[in-house]
Amino acid sequence: MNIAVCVKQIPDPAAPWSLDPSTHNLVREGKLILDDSDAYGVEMALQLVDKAGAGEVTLVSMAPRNETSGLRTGLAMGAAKAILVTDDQLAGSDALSTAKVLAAAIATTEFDLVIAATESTDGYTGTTPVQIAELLGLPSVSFAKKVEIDGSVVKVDRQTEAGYDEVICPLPALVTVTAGVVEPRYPSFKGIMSAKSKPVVTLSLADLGLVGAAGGAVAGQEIVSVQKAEARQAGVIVEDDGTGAQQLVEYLEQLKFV
Amino acid sequence: MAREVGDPVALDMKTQSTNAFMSGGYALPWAFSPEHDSWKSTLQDFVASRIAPGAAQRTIDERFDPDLALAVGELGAYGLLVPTEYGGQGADLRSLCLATEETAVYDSSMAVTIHVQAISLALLAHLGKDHPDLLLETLPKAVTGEVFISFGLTEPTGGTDAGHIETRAIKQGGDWIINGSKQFITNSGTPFSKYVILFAATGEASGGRSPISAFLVPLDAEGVTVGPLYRKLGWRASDTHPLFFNDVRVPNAALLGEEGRGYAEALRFLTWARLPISAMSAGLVRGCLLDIDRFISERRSFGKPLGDHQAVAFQAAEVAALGSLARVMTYDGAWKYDHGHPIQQEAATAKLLSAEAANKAAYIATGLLGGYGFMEESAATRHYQDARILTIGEGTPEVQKMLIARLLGMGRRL
Ligand SMILES: Cc1cc2nc3c(=O)[nH]c(=O)nc-3n(C[C@H](O)[C@H](O)[C@H](O)COP(=O)(O)OP(=O)(O)OC[C@H]3O[C@@H](n4cnc5c(N)ncnc54)[C@H](O)[C@@H]3O)c2cc1C
Repeated sequence: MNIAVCVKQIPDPAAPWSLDPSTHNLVREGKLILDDSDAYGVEMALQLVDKAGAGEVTLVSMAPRNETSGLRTGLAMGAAKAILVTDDQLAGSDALSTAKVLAAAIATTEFDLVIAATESTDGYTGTTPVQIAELLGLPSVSFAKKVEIDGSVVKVDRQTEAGYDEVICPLPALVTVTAGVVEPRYPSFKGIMSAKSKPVVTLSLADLGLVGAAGGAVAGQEIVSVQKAEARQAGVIVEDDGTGAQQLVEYLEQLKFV
Repeated sequence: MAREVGDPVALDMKTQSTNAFMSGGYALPWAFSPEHDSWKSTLQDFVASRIAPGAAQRTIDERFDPDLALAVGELGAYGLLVPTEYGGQGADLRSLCLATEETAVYDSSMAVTIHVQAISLALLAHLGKDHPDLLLETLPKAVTGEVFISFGLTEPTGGTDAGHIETRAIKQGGDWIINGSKQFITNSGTPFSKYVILFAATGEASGGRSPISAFLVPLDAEGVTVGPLYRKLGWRASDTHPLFFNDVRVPNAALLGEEGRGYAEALRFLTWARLPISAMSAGLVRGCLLDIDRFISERRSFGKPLGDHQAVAFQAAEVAALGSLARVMTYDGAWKYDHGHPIQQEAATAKLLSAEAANKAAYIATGLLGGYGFMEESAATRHYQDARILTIGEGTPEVQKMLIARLLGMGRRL
């Protein structure tokens, strides 16, 4: 069982983030870290490979400046190797460009399953994984809260608003996992040290044959302006002087809830 | 903070402090490799989610948590200084200092649990290097935390004058018969506690003092009694007991290192062990600063947050500076050790100053919290309780000053 996991390296959410005033893109200077939401995918993949008894986990990432800090975290957790696509022309990529790049990178390795998070913590488009599946000609199952491999199929409990669907899908496939799917392990000291010597293959747009087909220059999507989110208004406090219930009903009526 | 759209817009994503000093302490880029940084960030995640949440209650209940102790073993903290051939991490001293520092930001009890296990395992690997079979039998399980090995030096008659030892081991046939007692022994009564590295006088005194040897004594050997848990002011969730030895028979294979040289060799080897304690002091000061920051930003007096009163902010600044002192001293010493430099001066100085800094910081923190600084559930109160031992264990300030004075050439007279 070989699994490719898409991981995003993002600016540390514990430090203040900023947007570039002209492009409105997130400023990605400084050290990037493994997106927390991808730690679930890495953990899921490690557990599935472990259960299968053979195979390995490959991380696939697109990031500026040869950034590998976040990849090292995934390697320290137990992934065997990583593929990093880094190229100045990728600045300003939209979700489709990113999907093209990741799909091409995934295609350079052997895989039975591709895992991604449902969405990234810094972009939140949630569209990249399904585009990757489409580009690779794979079936995709999103919002997995439980993933099991059974022979040549993957069985997924797919989170829905009402509960969950049980989905069976032939392999190879792409699955996006939610934060609840598994509890990510902490990279152990041994893991951190062994990550140092695990292979990270770095590819450019030219290596993937995507010059002119992906990147900022061909992005079909542009952020034209950014507005501050409205501050949340303070709630209404109802003091119960005996008419509390009445006041609540009136309030709900006003909002047309009742 | 006022933000304009169009300027770089700070996205207020974060839940913890945005301030690198608050979350990581005084920056020491020269001291650390990228792997140290990864280890620190793993430790911070682990401490935040596993150690911090129950720290107050464990301290109040005087409860050593076995599950937590095993989770720390999984992370790899106990075997940091154990060679890899015995299942250890073969890491450097800075990695151990990072582990005790980050843990002590919230829980000094767990930090000392790590410290004692880590130094005992390192010492066992060092003294027992001629007994690979013994090491293969004991160390791999100790590295994971399934087995705890304690360090038994201090006696009821005194720890500062540790070379004066009344516990005796007498050779009988091919075995040793041990009689005596030890006091204040950390990690000696947990569900995992299986051995003590015991220091006992062997042979006749020459020039007033008996030679002292080290033994690895199983705690389930006949004649060993683990006394009741000490009720303590601080480190309350760590496990401390007295040990009694009554005609305990161990084979000659239990002798660690050369007969009569165990104590001297342990003392020489463990010079570095003051630095993880210094690191705990640094962590404790950071814990004080976090609790101060939380309190003085929330609490208001005379119409503004406490922290906006200069007299309050100055005290917080002093705590920050004390923490910086402890961090710099710790990692200067650890870096030198890791690069093969002598560290007698550094280890004694760091231990002396950091422990005193921690006590001062905890005093300030409890004061700034007002009445809450006297309530047992406050982090500041816990740090105050835990700070006191930092000037006592691993050598009192007097001991550190004796060592420093000797290095100044005043040795003969002290
Ligand atoms: C919670 C806890 C855990 C511990 N864990 C361990 C452990 O795991 N293993 C272990 O072996 N020990 C352990 N200890 C013991 C600790 O190392 C000793 O308590 C410490 O070394 C001090 O020894 P003492 O208590 O006998 O004090 P004493 O040696 O009796 O000292 C009392 C006071 O006299 C001062 N003093 C002594 N001699 C001189 C002198 N010549 N000049 C000036 N002042 C002097 C000391 O500085 C001190 O202030 C632990 C102690 C505690 C409290």
